[in-house]
Amino acid sequence: MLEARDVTFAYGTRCALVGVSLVVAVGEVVALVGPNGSGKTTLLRVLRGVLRPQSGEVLWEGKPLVRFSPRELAQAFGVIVQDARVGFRMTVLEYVLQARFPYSRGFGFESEADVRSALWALQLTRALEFKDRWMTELSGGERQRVVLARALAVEPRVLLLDEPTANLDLRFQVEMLSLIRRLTRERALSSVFVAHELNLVAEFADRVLLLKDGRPLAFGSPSEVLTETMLQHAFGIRVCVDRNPLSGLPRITVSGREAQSLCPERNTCEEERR
Amino acid sequence: MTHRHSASSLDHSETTAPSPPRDLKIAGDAPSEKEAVLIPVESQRSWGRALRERGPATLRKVSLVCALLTVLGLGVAVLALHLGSEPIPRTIVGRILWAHLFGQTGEPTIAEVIIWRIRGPRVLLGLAAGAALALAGTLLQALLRNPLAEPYVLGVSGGAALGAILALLKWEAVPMARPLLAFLGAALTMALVYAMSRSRTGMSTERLVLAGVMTATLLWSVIALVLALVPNPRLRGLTFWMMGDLSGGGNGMLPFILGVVIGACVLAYVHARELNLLLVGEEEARLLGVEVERVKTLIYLLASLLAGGIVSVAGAIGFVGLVVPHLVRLLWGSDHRVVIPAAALSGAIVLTLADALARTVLAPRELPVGAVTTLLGVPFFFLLLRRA
Repeated sequence: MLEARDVTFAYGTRCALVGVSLVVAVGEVVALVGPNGSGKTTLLRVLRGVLRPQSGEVLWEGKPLVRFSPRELAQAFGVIVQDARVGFRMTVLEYVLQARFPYSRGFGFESEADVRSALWALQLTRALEFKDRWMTELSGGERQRVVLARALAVEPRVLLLDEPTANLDLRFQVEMLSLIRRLTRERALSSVFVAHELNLVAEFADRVLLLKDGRPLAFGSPSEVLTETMLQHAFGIRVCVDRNPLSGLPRITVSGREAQSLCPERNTCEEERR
Repeated sequence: MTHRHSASSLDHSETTAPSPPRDLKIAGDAPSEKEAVLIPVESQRSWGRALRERGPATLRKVSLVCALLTVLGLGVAVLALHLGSEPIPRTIVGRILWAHLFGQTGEPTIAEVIIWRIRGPRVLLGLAAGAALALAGTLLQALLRNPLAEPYVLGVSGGAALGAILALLKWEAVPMARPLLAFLGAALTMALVYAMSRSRTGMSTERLVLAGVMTATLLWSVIALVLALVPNPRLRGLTFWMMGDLSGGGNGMLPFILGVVIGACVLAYVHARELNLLLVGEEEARLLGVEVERVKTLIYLLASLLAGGIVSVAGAIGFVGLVVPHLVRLLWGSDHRVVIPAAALSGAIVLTLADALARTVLAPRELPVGAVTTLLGVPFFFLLLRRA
């Protein structure tokens, strides 16, 4: 179980997160949604322990993150960062095999078991067929699947995925999110992902945290959080929310035919402090 | 808390469940995929294929590449001993080497003096300097994640040269002043270039190359000023040295240089996997448990030490550090477990050949070897810049 308690984080003087709390139970998929710059990526980095919050703390399995060694954390967390790219000639398999580094400390060559883990992960994300291509030759969607395979090859207990569906076509968006949910259930993981496709979030997340300007607006099931009032407040545009006829979950619709910008009010950290 | 029970409950639900890797079965896709997963990649491979194969380094590939390049390097070394203003037949070269290595020294002939006293140290210095420059280039490229990084291009060699000249002017009597100040010059220059090429948005190739070129220009101008203003007869020969010159044969510093190069190779090689991870990105490396700051500091110090050490005895030799690692990556991929030894050995080969060329093209006149490597390296740099 991964838990954030009343986390506040600022880059210098710019507040990025204010009083965010979050619980990700074992076997549960939590989605982070919100406008650009609302602190989703920052929250992921705080959850991983890359950023140390100014106040509040992050607990994993009931222990503060700082109590774990870097190696323990590297073995436990599978992470995707945004816009991962490789500028050098490196094959897909090499790239995914790097994820096994925390298991074999120091110098040496990867074991057969490491190779098997990497191939297994590539197969899950349907990337096995191009395991010998150079990373630089991949299309955006292919690269995204390889990046997810790298996170899975760690065989993690926690998945922290920043926009895992970026660059993917509709089918792969659905397939990758299904995969993430299935693995989360079957291997008892705790998963957090960031996505902008709210309809997919409604379908695949067990719970949703809606952020705006670093503050939590709502945390709960998709039907509790993804409501017209909430989304209009968060994004400042008109949306219509009804039921998805296929799943009964919330369906979010926008219109491109009318000017619908509601005046977006942005309160800053300074105002909050006063 | 509850990992174990879930793993065991998986084992008998393979049809729908993505099973953990150890009992991996593939549903029935293309047979080639099946083989790829089920047959251990290591076991059935010919030696020839291991050389050409893409993908992660294996012990077999590394030893094969190293063996190949070592044999080539020995051949080139013998060739370099043979070539010169006074070509000595290879059979005699072989006989002299054999005699000296196995302690049967007869009466010293002229050929023996040329081989053992003059060409021998020079060839050894060439091998060491070539290895050091290629290794420094490899390390800088991984550190800066940029295939255009190289001691000469970044001005690091210029900084080392300024340090070495300063040592020559002020502390000529102090024994290790020259390499020490060259190292300091290299390290300071690198810190400067690194700081200048960083912006809030990270590091860009354009900024790095620009910062390096500007720093290099500045440093060479300062050196030119010093040489013009200080009427020191000792500095006359320095113009030749500045352009890269192996003729000194190390001037007694050869054991020190060889020690530095071998030590740096070993230290870098131990961190080969960390370097592979750094090539992808600092944040990604940190996420997988690499102690990024420690490795970066080590690489930075090693690269400065190599550049400083070589410049202090052989002057500024350009572009070996750029061309060689690039060719090695083209041939065998970017895995540093192959790239580090392969670049060091290839660098040794390339510089020894370049020096043999410099000695023989206009014999008995000698060209500065740095001019030869730069003449050959600059077109290559343009090619890389266009593709970057």
